[in-house]
Amino acid sequence: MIMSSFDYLKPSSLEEASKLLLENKNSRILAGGTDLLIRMRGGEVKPEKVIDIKNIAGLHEITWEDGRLVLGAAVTWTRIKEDAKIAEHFPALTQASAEFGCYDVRNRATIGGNIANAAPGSECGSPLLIYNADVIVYGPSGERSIPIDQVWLAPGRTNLAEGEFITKVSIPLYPASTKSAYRRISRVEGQDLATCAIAVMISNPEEIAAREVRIALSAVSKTPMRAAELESFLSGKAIDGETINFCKSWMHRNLYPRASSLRGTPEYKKIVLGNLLEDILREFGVLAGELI
Amino acid sequence: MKHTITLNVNGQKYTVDVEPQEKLLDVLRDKLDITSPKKGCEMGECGACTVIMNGKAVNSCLVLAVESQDAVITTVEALHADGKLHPLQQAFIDAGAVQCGFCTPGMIMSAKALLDTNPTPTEMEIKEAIAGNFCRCTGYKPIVDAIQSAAAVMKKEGA
Amino acid sequence: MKQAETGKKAWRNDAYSKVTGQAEYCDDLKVHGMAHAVPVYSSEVHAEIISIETEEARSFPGVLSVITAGDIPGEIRYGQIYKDYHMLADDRIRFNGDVIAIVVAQKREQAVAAAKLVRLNAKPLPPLLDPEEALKDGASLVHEDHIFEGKSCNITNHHKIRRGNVSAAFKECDFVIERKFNTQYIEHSYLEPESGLCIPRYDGVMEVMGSMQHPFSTRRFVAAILGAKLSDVEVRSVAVGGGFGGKDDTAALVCARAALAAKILNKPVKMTYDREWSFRESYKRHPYIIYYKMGIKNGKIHAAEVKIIADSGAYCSVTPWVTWRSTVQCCGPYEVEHVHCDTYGVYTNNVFTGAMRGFGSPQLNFAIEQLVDIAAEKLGISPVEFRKQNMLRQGSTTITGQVLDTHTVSLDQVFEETLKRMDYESKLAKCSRGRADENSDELYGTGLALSYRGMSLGAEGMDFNSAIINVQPDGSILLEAAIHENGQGAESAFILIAAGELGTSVDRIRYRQPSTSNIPDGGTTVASRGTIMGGGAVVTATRELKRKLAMALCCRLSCNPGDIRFFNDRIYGKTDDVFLTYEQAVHEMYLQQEIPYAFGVFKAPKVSWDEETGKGNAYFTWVYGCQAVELTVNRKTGKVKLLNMTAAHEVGRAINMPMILGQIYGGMAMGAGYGLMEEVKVKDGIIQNTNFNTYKIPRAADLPEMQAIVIENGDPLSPSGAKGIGEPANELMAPAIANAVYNATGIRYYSSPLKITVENENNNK
Repeated sequence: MIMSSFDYLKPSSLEEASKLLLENKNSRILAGGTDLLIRMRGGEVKPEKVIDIKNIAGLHEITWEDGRLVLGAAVTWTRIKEDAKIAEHFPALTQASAEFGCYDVRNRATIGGNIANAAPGSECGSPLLIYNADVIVYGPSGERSIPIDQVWLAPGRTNLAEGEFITKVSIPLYPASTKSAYRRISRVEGQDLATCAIAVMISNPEEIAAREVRIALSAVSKTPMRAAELESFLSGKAIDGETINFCKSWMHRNLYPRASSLRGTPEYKKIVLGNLLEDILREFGVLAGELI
Repeated sequence: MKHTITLNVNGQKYTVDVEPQEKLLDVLRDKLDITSPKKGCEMGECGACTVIMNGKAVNSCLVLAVESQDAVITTVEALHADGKLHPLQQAFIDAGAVQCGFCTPGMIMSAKALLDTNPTPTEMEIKEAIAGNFCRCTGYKPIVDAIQSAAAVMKKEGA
Repeated sequence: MKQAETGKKAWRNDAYSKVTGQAEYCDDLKVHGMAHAVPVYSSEVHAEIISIETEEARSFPGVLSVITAGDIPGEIRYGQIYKDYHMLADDRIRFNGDVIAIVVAQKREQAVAAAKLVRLNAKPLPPLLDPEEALKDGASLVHEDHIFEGKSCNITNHHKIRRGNVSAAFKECDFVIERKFNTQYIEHSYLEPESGLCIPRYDGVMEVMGSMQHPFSTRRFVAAILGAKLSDVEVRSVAVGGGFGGKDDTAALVCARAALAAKILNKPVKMTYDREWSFRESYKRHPYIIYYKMGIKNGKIHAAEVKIIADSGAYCSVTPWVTWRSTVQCCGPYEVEHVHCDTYGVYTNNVFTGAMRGFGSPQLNFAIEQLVDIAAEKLGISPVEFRKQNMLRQGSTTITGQVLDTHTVSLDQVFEETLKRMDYESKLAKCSRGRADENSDELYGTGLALSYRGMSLGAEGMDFNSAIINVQPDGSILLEAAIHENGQGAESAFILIAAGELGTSVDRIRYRQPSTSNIPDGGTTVASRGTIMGGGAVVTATRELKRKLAMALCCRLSCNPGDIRFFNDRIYGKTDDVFLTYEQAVHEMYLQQEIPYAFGVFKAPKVSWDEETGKGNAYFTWVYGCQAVELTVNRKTGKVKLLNMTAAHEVGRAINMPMILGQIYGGMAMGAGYGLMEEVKVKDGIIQNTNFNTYKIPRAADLPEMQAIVIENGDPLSPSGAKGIGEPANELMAPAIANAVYNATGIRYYSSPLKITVENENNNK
């Protein structure tokens, strides 16, 4: 039962939606609702207006244009999971979609909603970060693009201006040799939030000097985060046991997960993320030599 | 602000006034007297409220009733509309997949949504399809068995 | 021994209505003019109530009444053993789930909104949250008027076993193992939250429908709060969405409060709980602290010293009974010469604890079955061998001095069958013990656990049950027993038992919708006693009916009463060509002014118990079980993957095999949750996880292939031959997993759920 009353609005254009958002300070965008409805039931948010964007043309599209994948904000996780072309180009995103919620939830929950919730452990967080996605928002001054690493400010808080809302996510394509993966730990299989998660991308895995490594971590900070220091440490160099051990100790020195998490202790998350990184690098075939 | 919505539930067209904060689950249960979708958690965790909405299994506790304007909704009540049990219903009985029964309507709807799109699922695909549906009684094994045997029956009947 | 055949089609009397959505659970019911009640909680954990302000809530639109303890016409306090539970808080808040008021409104959402307007003025008191602190002299008192053994204290009960001389025995031992174990709170997680619908009836009776597992207990709570006689309250059954022991006290309280509102307003009132309220208020499985000292001499468990502290929380509920079973079974299914056990239940300001499937045995088994593995390893022998050297066999004496000679002691059977099915010993040799294969991070382990379990209530309480069988003029039959259908299939089992006795088809027999006004109180549907006690009464009633039929029909069938046979859905004389249909038989009885009706009672055979020494024949019969598991632990992530779970249980005679299998699978799944993932987290007396987004129970994808072996040895003391399976199935998987995790990782975990640590490679460097 949702206790606070609100008006339900269903605009049919971007302009109309933005206007409604701007006019109504206490309003919320509704896409899949799998998070919003829970928070409204819990009384954590009490919007006066709920603006359903599912009636706006174009927000349900998956398109491939100009070397980019563009996902409409209202594209559901089921569609991402079942899209073979996404799996081919963005395996980390597909792997995240398979971990996301459960069957019923994936049928409703959207990529746009997952970004907008700005959860520290959001499923989309690490994959979109490593792929350098851009989030396209629409607002009073029209459309603008925000690099994904500038979208999240804190749990539940984004960098969107008043009257702005997410319409699309645009992700650049990478050369076929690029490797990427997503791994997460949860307490139970099927429908559990991530205890912690990691996504890794490597360009030019075969040429050490030209190699670029990207690493993103979820559920260890206020927002999903890129591990820039680790990335520059690993990029352009041979990766061996020594390097991996540095990465693991980096996790210990630089991560400060919330101690009050019901899902895992800080110590656990730090160790496991190091181990998952090692696993992924080994799977990519870029790990040379034996480990201790 | 009330909305008047029209939706099709189990082949029957309904026009009903709803408040924006009412969920599809509440409207089905309280206004249309369709009580097979159960209220177990109201957070999309237990799956007891699962219905098929426009061909997809959804948690009806996570859908606003106003969002179901023009929607086609199927609940377990519709599956034996002609007096004959659906193969899934019969298989649930035969496999001992029913104990307390509170999960059963939602579980059958998740299974139906699966078989509608994937008539020959593997055991893992079945487990994944019902991962959003709790059962505390059976350990799921009789349920997975039931869905497998229903799939076989449906394949045979369809052939 | 007979090993049961599996693979039979299931039959249940309620399956059709449940798969078609027709089955009505309490919250599905609507009554004209029905109002809705909701509970009001406070933020306090322990506080003295100064006043409860209700004016603002009363004036909220749609609100019909705001009810507090002062409005209760009957008893404010009630309880199954001690009357310590204030149904609405009067003097003090004793735990965070105490209900200070109920708000009744025309619509549920109005009641929920108004509940937020009720204000509590209270003086916070320091909460007592540590059960070991609560045991100490001078601890503050949770119940100031509670007296145990002549003094004011927080102890709800103290059970003892004094067998042999442990201090002398330990000196004789080759070695002694001392360990401390901790087990956690868990939530039953019945899928249907509590609900009650109460209707003041035209004849002055308060009619109650609700989600509960003991209508008679509910009736006592309702009558108490109303100040009514038991005959003024009728509790009727509706479909129940699971109980697992959890739908007794709290379920009854919900109905009692709804009845109170219905009485005050003189209109039907429904009270249905949200999941959050259910988590917050309902009782949990007791967390235990177990200090265990086990001495081994010549390969035998020679002595055991056990101290058990069970946190009862703010109220007693059935803590003395739960902990009594822990005491009786404190050494597991092994012969031990010298035993000294002290078990305490203790009040704290935590959430209260009570019955849950297993009832005091899962906690102890978690300790014992690990200790047995530890002992075997110290001895340098296999845990299989060690168990064989120590386990109870036909004619063995239990630690309470009971000689097991009235039934088949089938511990060796369940053990051997499990070992064989699993190929256990060869798998044991393959366990990783902390060292993974070179190419894998997965550590492999297998483990098992054994138990014996006293059936039904034992010396906990009076144990008897009744059944009524009533043949209708057309030959159809109405049957009922004083056992409640919680979803487990009790009604179906009784129909199958009666049909078997009468030689009829199950279609001839309808189970009458139970009501507390139909049949005498048969005790609660707990302790895996449904089939053995209710089934026993059904057998007694059907045999009495057959006697009546035989007496009345023998002339018509031209034979002696003793010659009459019941099969093929008919009643036969000496030869197969002389018979009556049931319809003809009833007609004949009516002509003779005889009613084809029988009432049957099954009284449990005598048991005994001495509170001071812990000696006695604790239970009239026992069941035996073994469960084993194979799993892997990922050394990099600590993730446990279950590969296979196998169980062998002896059940007496199997009545409804597919339902027995369902109980076993469900029990193993719940046991896996207990071992690996479930935990109600309590911080400063407040439950942190109050819905399934944060309290995780196993989902389909968490569970592996399961195998169940059912062994039948009809029990001579059970009229139907059947014993039980509900709880035995749920008391073994957690220790089996703990043993398997040890065999995989080389690390012992003494607390449940197991919080698997991961190797810290940085520390190694």
